[in-house]
Amino acid sequence: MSLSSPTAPAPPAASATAARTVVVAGNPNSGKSTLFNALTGLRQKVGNYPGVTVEKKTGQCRGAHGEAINLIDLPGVYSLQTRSLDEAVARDVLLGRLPDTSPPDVIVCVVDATNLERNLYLVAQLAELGLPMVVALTMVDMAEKSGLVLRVPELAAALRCPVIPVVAAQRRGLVELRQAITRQFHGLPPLCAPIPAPLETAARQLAGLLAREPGLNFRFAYAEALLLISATTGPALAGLPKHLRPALEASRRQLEAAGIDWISDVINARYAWVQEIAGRVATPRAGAGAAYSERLDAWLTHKIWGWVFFMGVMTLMFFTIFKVAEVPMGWIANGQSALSGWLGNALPAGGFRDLVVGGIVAGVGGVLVFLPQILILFFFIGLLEDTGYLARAAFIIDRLMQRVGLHGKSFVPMLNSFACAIPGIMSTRTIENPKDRLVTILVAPLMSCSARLPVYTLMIAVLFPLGFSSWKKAGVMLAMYLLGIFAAFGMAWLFRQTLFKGEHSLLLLEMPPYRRPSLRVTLARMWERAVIFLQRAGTVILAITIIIWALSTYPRPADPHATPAQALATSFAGRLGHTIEPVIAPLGYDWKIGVGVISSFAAREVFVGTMSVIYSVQDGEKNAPALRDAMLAEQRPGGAPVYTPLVCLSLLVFYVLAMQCLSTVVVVRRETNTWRWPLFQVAYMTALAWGAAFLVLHVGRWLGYA
Amino acid sequence: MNPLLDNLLVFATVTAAVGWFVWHAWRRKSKGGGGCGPGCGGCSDDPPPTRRQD
Repeated sequence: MSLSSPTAPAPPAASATAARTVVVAGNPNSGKSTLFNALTGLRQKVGNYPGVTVEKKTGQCRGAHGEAINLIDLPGVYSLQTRSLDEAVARDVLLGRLPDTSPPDVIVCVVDATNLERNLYLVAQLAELGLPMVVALTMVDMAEKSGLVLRVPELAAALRCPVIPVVAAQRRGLVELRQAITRQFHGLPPLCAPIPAPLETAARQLAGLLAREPGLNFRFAYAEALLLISATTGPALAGLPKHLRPALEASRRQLEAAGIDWISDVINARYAWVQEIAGRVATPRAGAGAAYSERLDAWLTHKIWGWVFFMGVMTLMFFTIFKVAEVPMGWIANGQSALSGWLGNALPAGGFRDLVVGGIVAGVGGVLVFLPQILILFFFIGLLEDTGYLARAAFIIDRLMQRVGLHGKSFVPMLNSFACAIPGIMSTRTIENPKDRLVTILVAPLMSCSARLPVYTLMIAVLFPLGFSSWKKAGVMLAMYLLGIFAAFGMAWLFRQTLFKGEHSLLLLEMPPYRRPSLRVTLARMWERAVIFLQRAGTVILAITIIIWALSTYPRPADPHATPAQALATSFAGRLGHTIEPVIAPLGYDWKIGVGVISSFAAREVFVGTMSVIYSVQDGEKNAPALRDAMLAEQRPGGAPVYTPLVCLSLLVFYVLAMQCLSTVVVVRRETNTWRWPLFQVAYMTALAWGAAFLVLHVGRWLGYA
Repeated sequence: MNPLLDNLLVFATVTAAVGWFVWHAWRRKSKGGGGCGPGCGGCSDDPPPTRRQD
């Protein structure tokens, strides 16, 4: 279905008992999703940078009298003249163009008090829809700290709609907001900016024609007409039926004859109105100096100190991941071995006990042990997002991104990809230019997602056994993350020079203000991640571990006296591993690593579970040492160790650069509407990973390392 | 344990795992997403917006 096409809207709420539709709209990073979460009790992703929400999200809440409300959270927009796909979603919901979404009954426009003038522009445009509105004024405390004196009642009078100051994260102002929403179900629309008379006449004439169109919502015909008259781009004209184009052209010609600039006069009229209101209701306090945000920015976005701080923060994050997580990881590992011991004694000897102890407990436990590290990673990401620092990191990294031809808006998808490539790829919808968007989709999975963390940690533990400092381990981890970032930049540059030549876009990134992070929000986000991780361990990873155990156990060897290692070598997994060994042998990997690499196409962290199962089967579940020790003890037929430092590094580099994620392939297919790009992506990333891993091993050997 | 019962338990568990995996893959394919990495907050089932082909 085309979101931009005019389609028949669903009928408005038919009765007083039917749920009303309330839409939360506003500029990017004004706090819409935080407000949406506070009103609905949901946990939609929020962040202190623009572009976090890229599609509409729906939730239910109650009004002041307990009436049911369908609340819709929209992607942030600066105006209804949309350019990107996410902005088009917001416009189409507001104009009632989507058949699966009821047209709004009330709009809650979230207005950031620190950027009043810019935010009020959207209010002025939404007012033209003729719907009752409530303004939720956010960041009032920050506006006052920055030296502004706000007169909220005057703002409400100027707009003729309720203006409610809210601090959604602390649930302040929510009761008043619900009351205002309920009142506005029967309220008047707000005042509109005065539009030059010839423009208004032309818009009313066009609205009359549009209102007769069966596919368009007649309630919004005037707003549609104003949008269409001042539209300069093709996508913005998508709401206009073809046969009405001559009428639009005629209106424009008439306006030009009357000396009206149909592009900018309507915009100027709205801005003049907004400036007059903003100047009246928000005045700078006498003696207010430069905001502390600006003073901090001078350091944190400095050409040299900005990088020093960035690298320092990243190093500290990885050091904490290693050092602090050690203790809870030890608890989980001890719990796992106690459970293995208990089950080993409780269950009668046989294949089923081997499956439970050597397959399920070893495989799932081997992955679960990394939960503390993943939670600490998300704790840090949450803190950095909420404080507003990540947008500064974007600013200093953008200097590099511009050189390689990546669009400035690629930063948010790249940032999301540190958590998981899927939301990263989804958030490329904010990028208007299709070439820029495709380049970002192609390189986003090179960023180190959290599923790689267990693999990195395991290989670093093998690389640096006990006795090495956590700083050293954090250094290697940081190097892997940087390798992913620079590989993404390098490939983006290459694609820009070859497949996607074209104009480079400039970054227009809004610097969010620094904020004190909310511990409640950060902990809630960590809890959400923990639930997702545990669900995954109990489903996908459990299923794959059982399958890997079966493949590593059957067929049973003909010789009843065969050792577990011999039995493993003749199993299905052993045969598969030996078959692919010629491909991976140049990288220094043995067939067991090959089985791990293949199984981790389902999900990267499955590599750890697979290796746990393989070594558990090989050593017999009763004698199985810790996975790291088993890997360190692993030898080639000649007696040389398998996991030399170079092989560990080579495997780390392979996992940084390889695609190894079926879910990402599926989502890239969905987002690009073709199999060509996901297949190309798998091919180039696998080739890149293989080539880089090969170079690490052989250049290292050539330099004299083992 | 009775070898027959032992084999039966192993067979049932492995079959259930394979069945679940196939069902999960089919469901993900038909829904077009979800069940991603540990950092994925999930995504909606809506198809990506496409511009109108005029």
